[in-house]
Formats: sequence, C-alpha cells, structure tokens
Amino acid sequence: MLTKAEAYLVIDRILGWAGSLDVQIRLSGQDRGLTRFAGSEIHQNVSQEDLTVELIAVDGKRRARVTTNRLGEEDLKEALRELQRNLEVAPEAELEIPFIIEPEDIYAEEYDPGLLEEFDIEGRAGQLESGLKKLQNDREAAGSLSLDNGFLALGNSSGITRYARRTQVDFSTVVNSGDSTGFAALISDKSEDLDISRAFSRAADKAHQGRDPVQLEPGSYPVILEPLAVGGILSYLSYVGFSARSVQKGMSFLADRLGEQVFGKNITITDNCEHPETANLPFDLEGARRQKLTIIEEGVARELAYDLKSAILDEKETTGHSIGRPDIGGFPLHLVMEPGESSQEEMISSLDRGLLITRFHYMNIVNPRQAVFTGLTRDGTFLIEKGEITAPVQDLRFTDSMLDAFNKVAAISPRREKVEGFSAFNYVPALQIEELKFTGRKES
Amino acid sequence: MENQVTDLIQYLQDKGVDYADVRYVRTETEAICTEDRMVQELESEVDAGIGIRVLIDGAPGFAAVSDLDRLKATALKAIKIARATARLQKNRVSFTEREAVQDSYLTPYEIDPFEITVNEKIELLKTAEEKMLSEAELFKTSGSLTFTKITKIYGDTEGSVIHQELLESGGGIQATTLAEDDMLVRSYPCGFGGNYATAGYEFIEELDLVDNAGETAREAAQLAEAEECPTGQYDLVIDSDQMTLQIHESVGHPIELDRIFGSEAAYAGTSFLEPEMLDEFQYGSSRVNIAADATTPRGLGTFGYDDEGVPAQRIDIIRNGILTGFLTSRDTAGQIGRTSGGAARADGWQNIPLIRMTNINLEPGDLSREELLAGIDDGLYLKTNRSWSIDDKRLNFQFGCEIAYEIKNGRLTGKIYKNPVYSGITPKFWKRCDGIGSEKHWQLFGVPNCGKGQPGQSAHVGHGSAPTRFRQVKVGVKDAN
Repeated sequence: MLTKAEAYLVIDRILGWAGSLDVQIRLSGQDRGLTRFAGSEIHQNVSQEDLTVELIAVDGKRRARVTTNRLGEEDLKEALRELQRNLEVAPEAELEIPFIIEPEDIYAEEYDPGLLEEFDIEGRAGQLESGLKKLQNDREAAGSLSLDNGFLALGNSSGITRYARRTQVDFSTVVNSGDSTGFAALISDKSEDLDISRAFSRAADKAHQGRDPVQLEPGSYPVILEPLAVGGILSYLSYVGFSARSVQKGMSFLADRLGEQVFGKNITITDNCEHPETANLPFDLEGARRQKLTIIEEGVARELAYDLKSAILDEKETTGHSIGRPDIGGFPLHLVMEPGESSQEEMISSLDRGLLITRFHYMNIVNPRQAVFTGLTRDGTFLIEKGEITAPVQDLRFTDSMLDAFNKVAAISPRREKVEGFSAFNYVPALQIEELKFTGRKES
Repeated sequence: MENQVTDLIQYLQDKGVDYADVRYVRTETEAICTEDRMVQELESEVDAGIGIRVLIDGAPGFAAVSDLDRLKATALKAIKIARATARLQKNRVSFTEREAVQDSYLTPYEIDPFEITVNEKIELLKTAEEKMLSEAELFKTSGSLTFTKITKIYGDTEGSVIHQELLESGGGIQATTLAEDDMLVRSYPCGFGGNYATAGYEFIEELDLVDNAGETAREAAQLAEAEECPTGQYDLVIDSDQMTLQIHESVGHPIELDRIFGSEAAYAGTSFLEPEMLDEFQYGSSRVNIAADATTPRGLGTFGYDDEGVPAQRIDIIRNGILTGFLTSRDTAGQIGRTSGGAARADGWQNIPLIRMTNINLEPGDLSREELLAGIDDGLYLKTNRSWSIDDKRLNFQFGCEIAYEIKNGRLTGKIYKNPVYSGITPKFWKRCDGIGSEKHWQLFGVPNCGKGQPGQSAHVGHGSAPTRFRQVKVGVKDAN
C-alpha cells in the first residue's frame, strides 16, 4: 500500500516522463481479502493485490485515456507513448475540458488500523467461526466478509496532488431456518461498527420469525422499509436521477424539475462526504474537491451532481462528483437521508395492515423518467395487522414509481444505518410508506 | 511467461500443497464510444497479473497479484489463506479426474481489430450516427466499439500447461427520443452496447451498423408517438435478441451447479433446481432443447479450455423439455457423479474460477417467421431487452423490452407499442413455448457483462436462439393479479 509520499513520488516520475504532454495521472491501489461462506463453512477465500495507473491526456478538445497495471519504467513510458499516439488521432470533441488546477493539495490519510488487525486472513476466519458457533444447529448461514485496504492518488500537469486512504469492511449474511431466510449486513470504515456476531444473531432472528410464510395477493399495501430496503431504492434513484448527466441524457425524473416539489416535504437527501457516518473521500476522480450537495430539501429538488464535462455543458462549476466515467457524469457516493421521529416500533404499531420489508432483491429500472422500479422482497418480509407483526409473508414483486412512493412517506425513523451503495456506503433511516404497489409474487 | 508459471507451480509443490494451479492473464482492451457524433471515450487498457489457487488437505486458498516480482510472496499468501479456510470447513474440496494436457488455442479470426486504425473505427460510428440523424428527429444518438485480446497461460500440479489467445469484438448503436415523461430507445443489433463475438473486425463489418441505422432511428422516433403497450394475457413471439436475456436469466443462471449448492445464497441467490431433478424435471415444453456449448463458432462464451484446464465441450441442458444437465466445475461435478463440463471461468487474473455460462443455446425449431405468427390471433412480437429482474430462486421474472409489434390474425399489423413488460414463472413460462423459428432465423448474441460472485466478476457469455413463441403470457404490470 503506497503512502501519500510514495504515491506522489510515482506521480512525479510519470509527470517527468510525460514531458510537455498535458496529463492527469490517477493511481489506485487495492489489497482486498474476502472470505465467503455457505452452509456455515468457508467455501471461497481469496486475496487480490493490484496497482493501476490511469493516464488521461488533453490537447484542446482532443482527449485520450490509457490504463495499465504494468508499472515498470518501460511499461509506463510505453503507456505514455500510446497515450500520445491516441491523442494525435483523436478527433476534436464538442468541449474543451481542462484539468483541475486548484487547490494544490487535498488529502485524507487517516484510517482505522484496527480494521487491518481484526479482519486480516486469520481475523476473518476467527470472526466467522465465533459468529457461526452461536447459531442453533438447525440454522445455516451463507455470506461474505471482506476487508478492502486501498488508496486513491491523483496528480496532473498543473501540479495538483490528491491522496485518500480507503479501508473498509463489508459483511453480509443470509441465515437459513427451514423454509425461511433472514438477512443482516454491516459496512463501515470503523471497527466499532462491526459486531459480526450480533449481525449473525439479527439474521438468525429474522429467519426464525420467517418460518411458515403466508401467501398474500399482489396489490397495494402500506409498507415499512428497513434501512437496507431504503438504501437499495436510494442507490437507484441516485443512478437515474441525481446527476446532471442523467438530466442531460433525458433519463432523469428531475429533468426540468429543479426547484419543484418532487417528493414529500419530509424528505431531505444530501450527499456529504464530510458527514461522520460516510466514507471520507474529499475529492473526485478528476481531482475536484467533493462538495456537499443538497439534492432534495424538504421534498424540493435543489442540486445535481456534476463532473467537469456535465458542468461545462450546463455552464456551471463541477461539484466534485466525477467517478471517472464521463458517460455517467457526476455520481453521489455519500448519500445521507435526514432522520425523522418515529421509531420502527412506533411505525409498526401505527399500521392497521401492511408489510415490514427487510430488503429488496434484483432491483431494476422499468421507466427512468417516471422513476418506476421493480424488485422483489427478500430475507424477511412480514405481515403487520392491527399494530403487530402477525406472520411472515412469501416474497412479493413490487413495480411502482418512486416519485409516488416518496410522496407518500408517512414516517421516518430517527435511527439510521450505513448501507451499501454502488460504491462505499450511504446513511439512511427506515421509512413508512402509505402505499407500494406489488405486481407479482414469488412461487415456490 | 510460461516459465514463470511452471516455476511457480514447482515452488508450490516444494511447499507441500496437494494441488495448485497458476493462471497468468493479460487483457488488452480498446473502447471507443461516440455520442451525438462526438467521441465520448477513447480508451486503451492493459491489465495483467497472476492468480494462484491451492488446495491443502482439501481446503482452498487463492491469492492474486499484478506485481510479477511478488509471485512467491503471493504463493505463500495463498497457502496461508488455505490454512485459514481449514478452520471453518466441513467438507473437503476434491476435483474430478481429467487428463493433463499441453496445448494451445487461438480464436479464429480474419482481421485483427487492433490493426484497424482508431480513425476508421470512429468514422464508422460517426457515419452510423449521421445516418440515424438523417432519418428521424432524435434527442440523442450514440455508438460504441470494444475490442479485447486476452492471453492466458495456465499450468497446474497435475501437469497441464495451456496457452490461449482469445479475441473479442463488439459494437452497436442507439437512438433516443423523448416523449412526455418518457425516454424511448432503439438499439441495434441489441441493447446495452450491441453484440459481441469471439471474432475479429470482420464481425463489426458484418453488423452493417450504417445500413441498419436508418431503421433504428425511424423506430425510435415512432416510439415517441406510440401508445403504451396494453396489459393482459397475450401470445408472444420473442425475438432472438430478447430471447438472449430470457435464456440467460431463466436457464443459464439456474443451471449453475455451485449456485444450486448454495454458494451464491447470500448474494444473487440460489436456484429452484436441485441435483435430484436431473433427467426428471419438465423444464419446458417438448419443443425446448437447450445446450451449453463452449465450442459454438464465434460465441462470446467460446474458448479452448476453461480456467481449470478442462476442454471446451457441449453439454445437453434441456432435451425435449426435460432437464438433463448442469453447468459444472471440477469440484462440483463429482458431487452429482459426473465429470466437469468445463464451465469454471474466472474474470481476469485477479479472480477465482466460478461456474459460469459458456454459450447457452436454444436449438432451432422448424417454423418460418410467417408460421410463427400464423398461429396468433391477438399477440405481440417483442424485441430488444431494456430491463430485467428475477427472484433469488430464478423463478419470478419480469423483463422489459424496447418495442412491441402488434400481431393480429397471424400477421404484423404495422402498429408498435412502447414500454412492453412481460412476466412469468420460469418453468411455467417455458412450458408455454409452442413454436421455435428455424435454423435460418437462428442468431447468436454475446453478453459481455454477466455478473456473479463476490468479489464481483463479469463473464463473457453467449446465447443463440431463433424467434420463439409463447402462449398466454402476462404482459404489463397494471393488472396486479
């Protein structure tokens, strides 16, 4: 794992070889260990170490990109020659996109060293061993426990430098109890958040409660979505709707709606890498400082995520949300949904009839402009009647507009959880929604 | 590089492992994307490294590294990982027998795409986009070409040494229009980046992107004016490009034996199939014959040997509607009393081989296009995937397409609908198949982004099929029941 000083040294050397070429260098290192288990035994245990250099050169409106993980001096010089060749033949694009020139340096070196000790090869096996021991004999678990230890560094011909350390643990498990399953997941960059045994117990409790599920007819039901389910929806909302690029592509449900009330007044969604419960990546993959975005404020669409290109197209400044993919544009990676005041227990007791949903499976976009998504409930779906959970429910497929659903949020929990996003993690509460439309059910 | 692979195997044997395989993989990629006649992306990538898999007393470990100066340290890491695995292992891993081989394989091709200038490729995409724009009023046009050259050197402690050079080419175009609260797309030759094959640049020439651009654009424009697809029970003819997704999700994934054994349970889910259903289970109607064929010419899932050194082969999966086979690897096949079907494939050097699809092909029937339509009084012809979702047992699916063509009294009426969505339960759906197009209509499509596993792996797989008829399928989501 390269330190900041080592990474900057590599960048300096490449810049030296690049000569007069106007170039951006992105260096990313990864040391990942992942242990998978099924049937309560480890069946896959792997490690990946990689160090990749991405070189982008610009010349006016011409632009080319070369990526390599061959880091010998000759390899890198050849990559630069290829970059030069590609740049010479690249036709002019519609826009000139200059590199970021300020501030000179942004870095975030801090990480939790406890993660490296507790979740190394032996540590992961030990954590799983003690967690699985606590499961009753009639229950089996599957899942994975991974440690990602990496860094991202960036520099360019203008002399800027960037470095961020990224260390994160990701755990998920499905516990099987006869005909039912329960799920729990943890994701964090802080060891204090990662009680693996407790997560096994949560999943086991869900599985136990889920025995002998009843079948419900598809239709519209009030629902309580636990944070994992909310996180799934939020990730897809972000993908189709929260970037300026998705508006420019005609895909976003927020097209021409900035300043309008799009969700209920109780919904506020920000993107904030400085929030203590999100990962600290203070710059984007173009080197721009990542800014806090208020995407939805009390239901009103306020701000979109920009990278350099989408910002120039809209005659704005980048918000520092590039993921290195101009075709996707800016992408919020640190979503935070504001909390409410109703605990999940209060939500349950307030419902005459409805569903409690742990998470969704295989969500996808049916109609992006209308934010119509589909997906199935999974690993813990329960019927609520007269304020109490009365039965587990066989999984159902929903197909509904999230514009409708997020205008019918009846309650929001004060407690929030870190949940996996498309990259890193988001921080979201549980939601009670007056009505979600279910269009099919899983058959055994 | 071959010497480094064999030296590393010797080193691992000296360290006392029971088994080891070592894979060097170098992948060279060139990608060009255009949008609105401008180059959006011009990218070259080289990715190389070595993956080391060991077995010690039946416990597996895998470590991979891109720094080729750290091979011995990585080998020791794989051993350390295997010993950690043993702490929490109930069943020892063992491999089915297969003959050790020293061999090589090269993708057959005519024109090396890396010898074609970038300018020529860009010009092709821009010409296709100009053609689209000249034919219809569009919100956006785009195109892409991707070429991949993969070098694999495989060796193991059983004596195999295999050198493979795989070449892939792919491309496509897309036209986008906007209607009120709707974005409509038409893609050619299929959605999500087009079609891919193990072939050279001749494959791109045969796609005829420019010649097909006009029709793609006109249909996109017509979709902006089209009515929403009606809901209800309809007879469907599903075109080959959508059958690709149908086969992929509702046959290809459920027949992966590692998934059936539960290895994906916490992630993408398991399968409704069980080993005991082999040779018994009625998967579909008697017309349905499906094979997993890693030897299909030009298939994106075509290779010489899988990543366990097992030769590419053709396996019957469904014969006359009955389930007859699974996709298997060396560690899973023995558990059902078979030998490996050669479907253990890894995404690059950095990942462990998992059971992946090869080319899962629906064999052609005997009907002409007219005969397929002739049996339908009131139905829809569906084309080109747009969205997909299936449950964690691979039973309840819901797929969306770009376009539906109305069928009345055995003929296409010329009317089209936007946003068709159909759904079903896998075996019930396949039992409704009562007609398959003939060999003349059989087409092969490549899927370059099949996701599975943790860490996530993306496999390149293929699916061949002809337009296929299904009776009384639920279309739309408005009718909740």
